[in-house]
Amino acid sequence: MSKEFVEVLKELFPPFSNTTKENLKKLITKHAENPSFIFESSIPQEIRQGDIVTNIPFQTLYEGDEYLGKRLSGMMISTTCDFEHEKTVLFAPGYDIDVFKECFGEDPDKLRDLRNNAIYDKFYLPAYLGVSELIIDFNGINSFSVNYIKEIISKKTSQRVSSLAQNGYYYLLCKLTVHFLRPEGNEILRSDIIS
Amino acid sequence: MNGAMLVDIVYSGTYLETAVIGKLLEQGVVTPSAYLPNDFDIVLAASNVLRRNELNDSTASIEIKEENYNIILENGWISFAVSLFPNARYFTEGEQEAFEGYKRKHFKRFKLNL
Repeated sequence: MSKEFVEVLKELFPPFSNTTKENLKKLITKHAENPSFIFESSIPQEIRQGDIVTNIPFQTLYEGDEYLGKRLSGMMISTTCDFEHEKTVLFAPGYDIDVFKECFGEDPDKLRDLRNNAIYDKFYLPAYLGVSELIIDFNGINSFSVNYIKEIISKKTSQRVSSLAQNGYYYLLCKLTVHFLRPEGNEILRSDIIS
Repeated sequence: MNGAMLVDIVYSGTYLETAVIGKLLEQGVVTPSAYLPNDFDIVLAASNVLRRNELNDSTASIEIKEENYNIILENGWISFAVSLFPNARYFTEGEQEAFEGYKRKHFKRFKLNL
């Protein structure tokens, strides 16, 4: 990478200082385990990014031409604006914590890592107002038409059961950033943009 | 800035604003206050003030001059988000296989002819 381009990048994307990072980290992590820090106390009228909707049919092309599918609660990953302006939106499936208890035999270390949001592609949400603990799987994202989502909600075959408060929303953005945008390791070799 | 100035601010915002406020915190322009429920709310509320100022919104209740902060874009945000999860890891191969095994056992199998 050329020196000039590095300078352009530095100017465009000045890094956080360590002090800033530490201050913000304290602000977020201090409250992250408190459900009232994460969720709205009531569901807003309009669907928003991070909302949980029940009974969504997720599927994955598994092997050959065979799919695996199941109805699960899902989190809207698309932005709130996308739901208003686009024809399709993205939802990530959510799994009850019991699923992972079955997988891991209630291994306390593995469940702790999930609950601490230490797994890159999983977003843990604590139980709140009758909704049980959920693990959102960013690697299981499916696309749905906006009209379909509106229809299943209006016909009450699905329900919006939780919505993120401002703090929870920022927490989601952090997890999405870490999963999708964290810098690649040095072992990934790419050609320079400017030679 | 003090809590009284922030009480009436309606929260909204973007991650970019949080990054900007991080800089303000660092520089001591914004400080936590007992007037709002928690420190993070202060950050978000203050970020709104910033946005209003940038839009020349007359409802902004304080003025933060441009020279008091630097706009920090995506690189700062990514760096911050990654730092929040210092022990982040992938599922181990065994964990992955257990999760996939759960799906093979409990999910419906079907074929689509596209």
